[in-house]
Amino acid sequence: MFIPAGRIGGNGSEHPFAVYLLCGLVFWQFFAACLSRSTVSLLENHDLVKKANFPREVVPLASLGNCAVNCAIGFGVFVVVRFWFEGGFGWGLLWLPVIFAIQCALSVGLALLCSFLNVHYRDVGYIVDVALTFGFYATPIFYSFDVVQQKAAAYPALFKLYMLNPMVGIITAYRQALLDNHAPSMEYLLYPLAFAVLALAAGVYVFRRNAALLADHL
Amino acid sequence: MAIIELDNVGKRYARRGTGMLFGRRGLAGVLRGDAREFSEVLRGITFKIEAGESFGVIGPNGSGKSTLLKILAGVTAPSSGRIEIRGRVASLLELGAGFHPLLTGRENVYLNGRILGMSRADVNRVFDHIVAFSGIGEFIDNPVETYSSGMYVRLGFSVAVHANPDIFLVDEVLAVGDEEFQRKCRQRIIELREQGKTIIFVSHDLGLVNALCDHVLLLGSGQVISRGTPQQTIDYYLRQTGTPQEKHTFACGGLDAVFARGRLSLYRDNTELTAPCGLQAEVYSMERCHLAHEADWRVVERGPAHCLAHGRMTRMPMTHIWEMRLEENKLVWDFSVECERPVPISVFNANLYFPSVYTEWLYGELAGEFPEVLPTDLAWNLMANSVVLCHSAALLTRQGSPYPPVDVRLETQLPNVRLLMFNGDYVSGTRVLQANAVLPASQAQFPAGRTRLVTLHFDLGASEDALRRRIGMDHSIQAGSLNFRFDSGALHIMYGDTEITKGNHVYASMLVGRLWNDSGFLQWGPVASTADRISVTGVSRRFPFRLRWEFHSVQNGMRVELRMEVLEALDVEEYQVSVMLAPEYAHWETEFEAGAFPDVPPGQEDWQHLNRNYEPGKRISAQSPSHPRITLHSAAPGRTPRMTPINASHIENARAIQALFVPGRTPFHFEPGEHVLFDGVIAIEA
Repeated sequence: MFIPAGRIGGNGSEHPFAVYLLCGLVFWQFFAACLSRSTVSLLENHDLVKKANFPREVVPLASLGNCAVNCAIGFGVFVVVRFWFEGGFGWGLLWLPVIFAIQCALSVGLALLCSFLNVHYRDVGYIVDVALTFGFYATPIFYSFDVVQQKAAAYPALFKLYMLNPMVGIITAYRQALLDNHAPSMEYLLYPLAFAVLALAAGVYVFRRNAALLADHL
Repeated sequence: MAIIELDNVGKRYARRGTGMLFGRRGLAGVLRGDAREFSEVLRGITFKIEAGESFGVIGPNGSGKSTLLKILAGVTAPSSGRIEIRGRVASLLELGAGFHPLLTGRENVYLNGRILGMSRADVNRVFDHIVAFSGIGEFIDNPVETYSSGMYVRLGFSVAVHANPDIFLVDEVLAVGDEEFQRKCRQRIIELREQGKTIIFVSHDLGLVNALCDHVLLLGSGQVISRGTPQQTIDYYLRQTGTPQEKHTFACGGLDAVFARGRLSLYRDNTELTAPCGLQAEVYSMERCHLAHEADWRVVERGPAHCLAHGRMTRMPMTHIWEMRLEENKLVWDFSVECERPVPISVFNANLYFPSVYTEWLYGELAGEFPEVLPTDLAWNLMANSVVLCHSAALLTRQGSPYPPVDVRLETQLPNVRLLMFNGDYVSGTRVLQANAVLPASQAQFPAGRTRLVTLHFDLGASEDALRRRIGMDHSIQAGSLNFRFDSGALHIMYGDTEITKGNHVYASMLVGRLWNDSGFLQWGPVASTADRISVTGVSRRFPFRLRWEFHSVQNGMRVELRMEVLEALDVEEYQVSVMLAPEYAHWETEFEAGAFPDVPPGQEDWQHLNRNYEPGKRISAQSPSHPRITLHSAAPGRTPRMTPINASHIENARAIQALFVPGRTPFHFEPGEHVLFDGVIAIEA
C-alpha cells in the first residue's frame, strides 16, 4: 500500500515536498529519538542509579529534554523552509502547543514504560528500534494521509491496523494546523489523545511503582 | 527521637541472570509461570540510630552490609518492613559517582551537589571550600576526563563532605587516595562527628570502626548478630571469624585467650584486656613488612590452657611458630620462626595493643602518663625509648578500674631486642607496647631452621605497688650527702640538690681499632641494684667485649670497679675512666703538680690536657669554691694510670679528671676471659 516517495510530491499534497516532508519528519524524529534514547537511558546511567538516591524519572526525562533540543533545531529549519516556500504561518500555528503537548504526553508515557521494561528485559531496546523503523513507514511522513485514506476501502483490515498507530493522527494534525492552516480534525486527534493519556498514566504508574527497586536489576 | 529507624526490614533479590524478553526465563517464562528463585539478603533488621550518633556496621563479606547501606541511602527499597529516615542523607559510597567526564570540575561540583541534595545557592556558598579541600586548584575548569583518578576521588569526597547533610553514609572510601588524603578524610570525618552529624560507617577496618563509632552493629548472613559498644561487638566478631583450624580458645582460671589467625586476644572475666587488634607480630625482610596475620595459620596443638600454632608466611619461606600458654594470672607467649632457607630479616616487632583505659606506663627506670590522644595524632608517639636495654615494662590503669596492671617481661637470646612504649594514633586509640629488634646487617641473615626470637611473659596478678617498686625502681645509691645514679652507661653524682658531674658524667672509654668506645655507646642491660650497690653489664655493638660496672658505696664516696669480659682476643690501644665535672671546678691537683682550669676560649673543639708531668699516679682531685672537693683514686693492680686534668671543648663547657691508661710499645692485649680494667674510688671532701 505504500507509494514510492517520488510520486508523492505531486500527488499527495498541494505543498512543496520539502515543507511537507519536514513537517512530518521533525516531529517523527522527536518521537523516535525520545523513545530509543530513553529506553536505554537507565542502563546507560546505571552508575548513577545504583549509587545515588534521586527521583528515577529524571533519567528517562533528561534524555527527552535532550531530544527536545534537537527537535527545536529541526523545527527552526522547518520554519525557515516554510517561510522560503510559502511565506509564513497562519492561525493554525496556535494549535501547535496542543498537538505538541499530546505528543509529549505520549512520548513521556512510552519512554517511562520502555525504559523500565528495558531494565528488566535487556532486549526491549532492540525491539523498540525495530518497531520505530516500521513506524516510520506506517506513519504519513513522506506521503500524505489522504493517499492512505483513498486506499482504505480496498484494505479495510489493514487500514484499521494502520490507524492503531497514534502518530498517524498526530502527524496529520500537525500538517493540518501548520500547513493547511485550519483546526485539526478531531476524529484524528481524539484517538492519539486518549492513547497518550493512557500511555502516560500507565507509564507513570508502572515506573513509580518500580522506581525504588530499579537499582536491584541494573 | 531516633533519626533512623528500621523495623523488621528484609530484602530479597530474585536470583536470575540478565533478563531477556525473548529467550530463556523471558516473557515466555513469566507467562508459563516459572517459579522465580529468591535469595534473602537481609532478614528482620531492627534498630534505631539516634541523631549525632556514630554508628558502625561490620560483618564478613556477603553479610548484607552493602545492601543495608543501599537501603539507608535510598538507592533501593526494602522488600519488607518499614524504614524511616528523618533527615537528609549523603552517601560517600561511591566518590564522584555521577561525574560526567565531559563536564569541567566546576560543572561537576554543581551536578554532584545537586545529586547530594544541595541547592545551587548551597553549592555557591561552599564552592571555594570544596575546591580548596580537594586541592584541585586551577584544574577545576578542566574537564574531569583529564583528571587523574586521585583528583577525581578527591573532588568527589570534597563535594560529599561539604554537602552538609544530617546523615553521612561512609563506606570503605577511606581506603582510597594517598596517605595524605586519607589523613585529611579521617580528620574531616572526626570533625563532622564533633559537629553532631550522624555518621554510619561501614568498614572492615576494625581499628577505625572502634575509634570512630559509638555503637557497632554486627551483621552475619543478613541478620543482626550483635549490637553494642565497639569493643564488645568487635570482640564478638573476631571470635567468629576464621575457620576452626585457624582458631583456638584456651583458658586458665579467670583468664581466656583467643588465638585467631596470627592474633592473640586476652580476656579476664569476659573483659578484653587487649585492644581489638590484640597481640600481633611483623617482620621486615628486604625492606618489606610481613604481617603475621597475613600468614596461613594452622593450630597444631590445642590444650585446655595452651596453644601451638604455625603460620606459614605467604611471601617468604618462613613459618611463625607461636606457643602460647596460660598459667594462673599469667600468659607466656613464645615466639620463634622457622626458615626453610636463610632469610634476611632486618626488623622484628611484636606489637601488643592495649586499650586506652591504661593511662600510665612504667618502663625500665622511667615512668609516665600517656597524654590524651588528640585528633591530630595520626601516627604513634614514642613514649619511652631508653638507651638502656630494657626488658620489662608495665601498664597501669586509674584506681578502681577493672583492668589489672599488665606487667610485660621480655626474654630473648638475640641482642638488640628492646621494649618500646607508644601512644597509638587517634584513630586506633590504643597503647602499644612493642618488642622491637633491629638486627644489624651482620646478624640479619636468619639461618635455615628454627630461630627463637622472644618470649613475652604477661603477668596480670602483680600488685601495682610491687610493680612500681620493681620496674620503677630508682637505681640510685645514697652515700652521705652524695647520691649516685646510673643511667645509660654513665654514673651521675649529686651532692645535695646539685649535680656535680656533667656531660658524660662518670664514664669509661676504650680505644680499639682506632675507635673510641664510650661506655655510653654500649647496650646496657637491666640494672641490678641494692641499697649500697649497683651492678650493670653493657654489650659493645662493635667489638666482642662486655663491660661490667660495679658501684659500691663507701664513706663519702663510691668504689668503682670496671671489669671487661672479652669474648675473643682483643687489643686495646688506650683506655680511660673519667669524671666529667661542672665548670665551677677551678683547680686541680695530682701527686706531682697542681694548677688551675683556665677559661676555655670559644672555638676550642678538642680536649686539652692541662698537666705537664706524665708520671703514672694514683690520685687526682678538683676543687671549687662552691662545690665539694672531689678526688679520683686509682687502686688498680698491675697498671697505674696517668692522672690527667682536662678542659673539655668550649661547647661542652666542662672539666674532667681522668685516669688514663696508656700501654708501652704494644697495645694492651686481652685474652678471652674476665679482666679488671679499673678499680678505684671517687670520694669527696666537703
